[in-house]
Amino acid sequence: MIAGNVRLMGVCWLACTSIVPLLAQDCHLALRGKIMDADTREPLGYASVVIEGAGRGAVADANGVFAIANLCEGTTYTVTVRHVECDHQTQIIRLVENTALEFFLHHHVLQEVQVVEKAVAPAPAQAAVASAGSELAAAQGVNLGEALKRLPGVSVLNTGATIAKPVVQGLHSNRIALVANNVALEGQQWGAEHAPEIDPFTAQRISVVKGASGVRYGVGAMAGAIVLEPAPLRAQEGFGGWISLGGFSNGRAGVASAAVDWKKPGGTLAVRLQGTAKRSGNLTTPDYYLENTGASELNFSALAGWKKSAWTHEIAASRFSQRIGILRAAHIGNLTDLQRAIESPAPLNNDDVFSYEIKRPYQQVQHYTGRYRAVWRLSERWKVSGQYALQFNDRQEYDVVRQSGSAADKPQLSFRLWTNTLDLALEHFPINHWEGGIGVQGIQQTNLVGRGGLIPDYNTAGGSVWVLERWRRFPYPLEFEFGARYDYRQTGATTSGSLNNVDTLVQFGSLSGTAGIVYHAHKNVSITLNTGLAWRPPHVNELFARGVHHGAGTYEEGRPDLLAEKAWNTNLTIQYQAGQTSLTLTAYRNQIANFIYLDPQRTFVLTSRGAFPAYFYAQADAVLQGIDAGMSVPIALGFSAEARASVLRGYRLARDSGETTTHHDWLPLMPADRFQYGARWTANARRETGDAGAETGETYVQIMATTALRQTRIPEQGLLKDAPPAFTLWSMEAGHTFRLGKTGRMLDVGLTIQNLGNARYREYLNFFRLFTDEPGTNVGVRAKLSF
Amino acid sequence: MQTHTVKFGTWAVLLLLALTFGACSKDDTTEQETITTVLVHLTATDGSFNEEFTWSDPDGDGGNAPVIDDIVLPPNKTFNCHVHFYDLSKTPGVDITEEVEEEDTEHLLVYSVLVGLNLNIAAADTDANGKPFRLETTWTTGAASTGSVTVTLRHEPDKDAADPDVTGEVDAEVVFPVKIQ
Repeated sequence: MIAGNVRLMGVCWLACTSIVPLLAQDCHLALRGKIMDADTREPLGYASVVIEGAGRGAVADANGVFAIANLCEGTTYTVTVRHVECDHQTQIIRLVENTALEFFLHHHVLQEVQVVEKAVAPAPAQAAVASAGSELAAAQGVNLGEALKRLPGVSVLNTGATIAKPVVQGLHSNRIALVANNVALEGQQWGAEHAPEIDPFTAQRISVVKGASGVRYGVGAMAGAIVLEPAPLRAQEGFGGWISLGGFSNGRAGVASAAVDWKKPGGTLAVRLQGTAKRSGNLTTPDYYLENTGASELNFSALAGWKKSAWTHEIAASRFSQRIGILRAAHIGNLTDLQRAIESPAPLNNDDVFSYEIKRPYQQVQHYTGRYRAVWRLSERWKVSGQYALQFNDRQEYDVVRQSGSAADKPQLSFRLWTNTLDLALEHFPINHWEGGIGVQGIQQTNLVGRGGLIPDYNTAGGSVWVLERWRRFPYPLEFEFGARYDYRQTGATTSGSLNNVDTLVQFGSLSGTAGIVYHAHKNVSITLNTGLAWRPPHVNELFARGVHHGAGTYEEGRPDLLAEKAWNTNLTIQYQAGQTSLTLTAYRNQIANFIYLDPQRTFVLTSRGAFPAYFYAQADAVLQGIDAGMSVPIALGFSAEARASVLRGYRLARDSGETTTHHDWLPLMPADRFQYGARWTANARRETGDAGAETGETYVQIMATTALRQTRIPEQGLLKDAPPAFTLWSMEAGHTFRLGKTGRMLDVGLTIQNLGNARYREYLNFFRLFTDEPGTNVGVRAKLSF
Repeated sequence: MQTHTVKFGTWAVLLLLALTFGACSKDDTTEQETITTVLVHLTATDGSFNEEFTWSDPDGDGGNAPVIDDIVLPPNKTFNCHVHFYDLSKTPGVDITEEVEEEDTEHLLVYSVLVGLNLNIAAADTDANGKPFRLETTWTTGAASTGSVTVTLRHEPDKDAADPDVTGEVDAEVVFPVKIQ
């Protein structure tokens, strides 16, 4: 341990993607792995890997991939990885079999090997895309939706410019799972205008798992899951951390986030404290400010982990707190007003000035999460893990009211949701090449809705049992995965506050399943086929909602006899990776039985604010299918071409009253076909030699265009305004990393410009497209100091 | 090491207890503003007529249909009209008229008479700034006829606009059938 090097942050890590035997016994095991940069997650080529004392070793290729054959089962090896840009790394390993552990190696971890194990079984044999490194850093300051929407197959459902929900393969809200720091987020996700309560700064990596993921992530993961992973806790003794600052011209926004990591000298305890503060004012379109579109946010999180003999403990707590202004012009009293607002080219009731003030209407949301997790290693092959998590979500919505009335200092809607979850799992490392586990989960929820809410109060209790196994045998080019899960949910809904009279108990239970094959057709080509079943019970709002949805100008009514939605989702992914070239193509088909949607009725409901068109919840079979593609191809001189495409078709089987045959009707709010293309220039992309230039840092500049076509596939009825025309937007991004001398400190600076040409456009997936254009040019600067 | 383990375990328990018991009570702090009932009080200037007509939907949007009185007026007379707003979804009911009167600059009533109905409605009041308010109006009936009157309460209108009657947002909008006979 050299004290001066403790702070070194040029962190490299080694991911042993598989440690697999050639034959089942003796000295025929192979160690295969990949060496990557911990910060950028880019491969580090040409590192040397040596097994100390055995005189064995290998040199990784340009992609950081290496393999060492003929190692013995049950023997302890000391593996050292050396790379010119990083200090050498030593890892003690013991090969058992077919293991899929990830070893996060940090500098100078000689006495202690930090083993971070996967939460639930191995990585899914499913299509997945991820955002990390500079790409994530450029979007982190905005919101979770922004951080994800550049990934193929992911789009964003907006309510104005301040509220964004991620959409995966056309589905969102209760039909995808959001997992942050190993806890599935439980908020008021049913509402399209309820943004996820997650601070993107807590994540080092955000992955989107596509396809039915019910076995891994439980009820609701019908189109996939969004998984946020924090950086691993500090492995070397002492202090570390980062400070990140950002500013944006549009909305004159500022964001600051910082984290401090500490590891106890001579102990195993490691702690992280992190916080984020954000403030923004009225956003502006090319022609006018958007009144009351400011937001403020203040988030904290804490994470601690320690080990004692065979036990590993982890405890985490977080608080997310946000106040979001809702565009004043989108607050509509009745249908006549709505029609006037829609017909007006510029928003009505809009004060065209900049202000930081957040007035009514606004939302105030707090989300607390507490979590304790323990892992007990029974033996070399078996471990037991348990996790208890408590979440409390407190959402208050403040409407425009009379100043002198009794409502003036109170919210008009409030939802308070408590969720308790307990997870127990028994997992094993490879036994006859099978790796996986079984587990149970219990969940309890209480949702209290304030007086006048659209939905009744409810209590939910449920449980599930799952099993997931994966077979891998190196160098056999096939991998298999099978999983099954049964979930049960019972919900008792009672009216206490709302006018809506309900007192019912509903019960749902169903199977989820997954089966996947990965075929490594060539060293650069892999083909993944996954098919899965997932389901979702109808939510309380779909069963019992009753009232006017003001943003949409519709009267919505639930249906208490709805059945559970069941999705059968098949994904086929072909991936090519060679050097800096990568090509990914995913084709999918998601067939959903009993898909729940709002069905426009041919009647109006008379209210004290006039008549509103009636929409009743209904269900029908639906199909969503599409193609996501992404590519990155180096051209020359550090330039590479980048392109991504997302194409989706979603329809349901419709039957008009009195007809006996069905026809296809397009689903509403399906993302329009979207293409991103551009060029990226990277300096110091090649680091195979020890030239001194590599020490000073890396630079990148990227110019991308996004073209969204007009959505022409819209439902026969119910669209209040034509889908907006096609548009093309340009954006620019640049970044430079300074490596500050030999201290290991790094300074990342970046510039992003969204909507370079200040284009006027509207997004089909934004509810407020009825009233306003999207924001204009937004210049953002950011700086992050890691120490 | 040992002490730290204990410390963190204790911490965890305390935190979770705080989260669990911090807010489990079912206090109800929300306050919806719903106008369920609009009452039109008409008195003839000659004292021969004094009646109230209501448009009422006490169970809120949806559910039971609203109950609407027909306004039946004698011909060729002048009436003073005062409109009242109530929220009868609560117990006891709330009279919102006072709030509307207190914030008269933030409110505007608009009346629309169906063509063919021989009824003229004129403002009988102004707000604190001398701008239209129209909580109180004068109704003048002509010859026998039938039709309807739409009464609209607008919140936060722009009373300086060319046509203030379409600005702001609708807090209440009800249609009364009217018979002059």
